[in-house]
Amino acid sequence: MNICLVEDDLLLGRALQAALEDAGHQVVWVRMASNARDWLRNESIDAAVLDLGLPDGDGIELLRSLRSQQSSLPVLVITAREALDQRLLGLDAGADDYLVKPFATEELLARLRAVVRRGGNWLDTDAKLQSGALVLDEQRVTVTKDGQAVQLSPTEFALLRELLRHKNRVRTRRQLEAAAMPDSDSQSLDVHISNLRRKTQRDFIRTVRGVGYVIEEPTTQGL
Amino acid sequence: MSAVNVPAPSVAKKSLQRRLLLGFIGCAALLWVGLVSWGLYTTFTAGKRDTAIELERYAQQVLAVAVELKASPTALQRALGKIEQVENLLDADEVDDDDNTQLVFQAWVDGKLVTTPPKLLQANQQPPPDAPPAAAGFAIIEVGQSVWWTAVAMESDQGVVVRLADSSTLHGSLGAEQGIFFFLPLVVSLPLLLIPAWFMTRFGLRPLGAVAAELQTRVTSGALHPLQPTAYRELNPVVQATNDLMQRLGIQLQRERALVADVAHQLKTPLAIIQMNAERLEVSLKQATQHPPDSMRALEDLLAGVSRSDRLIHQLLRMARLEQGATQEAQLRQMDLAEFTRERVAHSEPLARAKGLQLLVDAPDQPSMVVYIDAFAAIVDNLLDNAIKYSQPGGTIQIHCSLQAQDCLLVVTDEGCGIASADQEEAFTRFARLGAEQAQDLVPGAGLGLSIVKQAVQQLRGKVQLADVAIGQGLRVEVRFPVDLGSVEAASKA
Repeated sequence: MNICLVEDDLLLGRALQAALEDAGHQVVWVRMASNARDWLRNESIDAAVLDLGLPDGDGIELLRSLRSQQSSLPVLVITAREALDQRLLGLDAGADDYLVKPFATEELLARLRAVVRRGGNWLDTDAKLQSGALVLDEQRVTVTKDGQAVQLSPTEFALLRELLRHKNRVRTRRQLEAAAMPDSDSQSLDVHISNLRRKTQRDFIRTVRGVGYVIEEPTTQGL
Repeated sequence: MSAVNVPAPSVAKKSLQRRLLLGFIGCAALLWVGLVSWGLYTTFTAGKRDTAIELERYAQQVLAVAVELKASPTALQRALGKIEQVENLLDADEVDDDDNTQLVFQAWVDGKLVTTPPKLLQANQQPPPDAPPAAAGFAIIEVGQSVWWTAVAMESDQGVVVRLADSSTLHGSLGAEQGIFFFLPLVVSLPLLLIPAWFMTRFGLRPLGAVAAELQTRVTSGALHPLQPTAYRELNPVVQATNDLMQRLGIQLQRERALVADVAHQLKTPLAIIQMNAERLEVSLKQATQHPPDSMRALEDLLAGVSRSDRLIHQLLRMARLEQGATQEAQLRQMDLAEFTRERVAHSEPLARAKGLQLLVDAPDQPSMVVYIDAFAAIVDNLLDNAIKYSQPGGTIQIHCSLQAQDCLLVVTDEGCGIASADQEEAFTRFARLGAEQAQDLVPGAGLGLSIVKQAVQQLRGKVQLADVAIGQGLRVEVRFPVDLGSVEAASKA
């Protein structure tokens, strides 16, 4: 992917550039909002990583002007701010996701993949969600386990996609319901999950009692 | 907060009300004394004038008798003696217990005293002089110790002079009885006056109490918004000065908070740089076939240091925001606290999982309610964070959130080392780190968690309670705060 990195801090910019390049992306690094304006409109750019604090203009303003030009460029915002309101402000202005400093490189890459995928203009093998032997293809709407197709109902597919999109993060029951089954009651969520488990793997989806469900990366060893 | 020398309330021994009452008593007594003095003075002068008129008239009557009888001095002597006797008897009846009163009649014919010397009633009394007076009219004459009020009448053509002398002490001095008569009402009525006066001063001082009470709410809540303007001229300078002071304090506090928040924000970029580079090093170390011993360990510690700094910064920002929230109404949100609790638990779950802890959430669905969202999030996050930090691997953490009558009840129970009852008070102070000593060695942290919880609970006007599940068997933290089921608009108006 071609990524436009908008970061004024020299050291952080260098670290970000290196991390993105290590992950196989091409990086255009600009340090001023004025330069960023031109690059973000460039057709070859697939996504942007934008630091909100810039010396010659607020990143939020940059984002607003970008969105006002009907650009659907996926933008991942990096910010030192963390108040709920300020986060929302960033998202309203058109950020696809935000990342609060400091962050793990892995998290940055995962979020970046996610915003690009949601943007829908990045057709690649990366558009597949995977956990262990299970692969979910969002474009083709298929799920395979060890290469063999798994038959899922639309609700089950939506649930699995929601859980895989937020891998290693617990989704609350309400969040899952909102994402996969807006019209059903919460009793049926358990039924769908139990069906999903039967069709995939028993201990694949873990219950967090009283909260919701989570799919954990099998190789993950915590922090 | 820095330690400021606040004078103990017991130092204030003087009372404004007492001061007012004493002033009132003083004024009343002074007024009384003035009135009584004036009364006595007028009584004295009027009495003197009346006596003079009476004596003079009497003297004219006696003179008429004396002129008729001047041919026979013996008859005159007898007649006057009789009148004197009768008069003194009557007088003794009139002024029932005053024996001092005595009338003496003297008459001169052609310059010669015709009356007999008077029989004086008191031993130490001196009679009026025998020499004929030169002028008619009223006079007070002193003979030795005795004072005589006299009236002289004369018929110069006939050569007759008559003098009446009255020895009454009533005219001259004030007896103890009169003193009691005048001062008794003062002594009796002052205490009676004091009761309404006490109520009056108390009523009058009530606006002062109202201002004090309003100030007290600022002390307890820590809010610095200005006091209500007062309608009382005397209180206005106090209220004005207090408001000015609070405004100045508020600006200063605002600056300090902004500084803390600014510094904390600024620290995040260097932390991000450290973390990203440490992770790059980690990757290259893992790929290298050979690396110095302990280098992986050093990297892990480096990353742990980053995450600890991150948490500290996060808590400092949270604290700054909570302090700001105490003066701002911006953080009110309407939401389902149970679902919000579940989301916060989901947020902390990776930490618990990494430590092999099980989280049990019991949060039945609730109607949405209005709450200071930052404060509530701070409570849940910090209690969970503490529970995770102080739990042994494999333990269970229970989170309960429910609506009870008008209160929201949040309980977090862990199976960690707990906090001894003696230390529980101190646990809420900033940078306090308690618990079992071994846990202290194992658990990193700045000790801000519970102080943030306390502050957030205060903002929610609630209560927080620590309880040992069993000694050394864990900790149960109970937070209870009143909730508003109304709308955000209604709550922010309140």
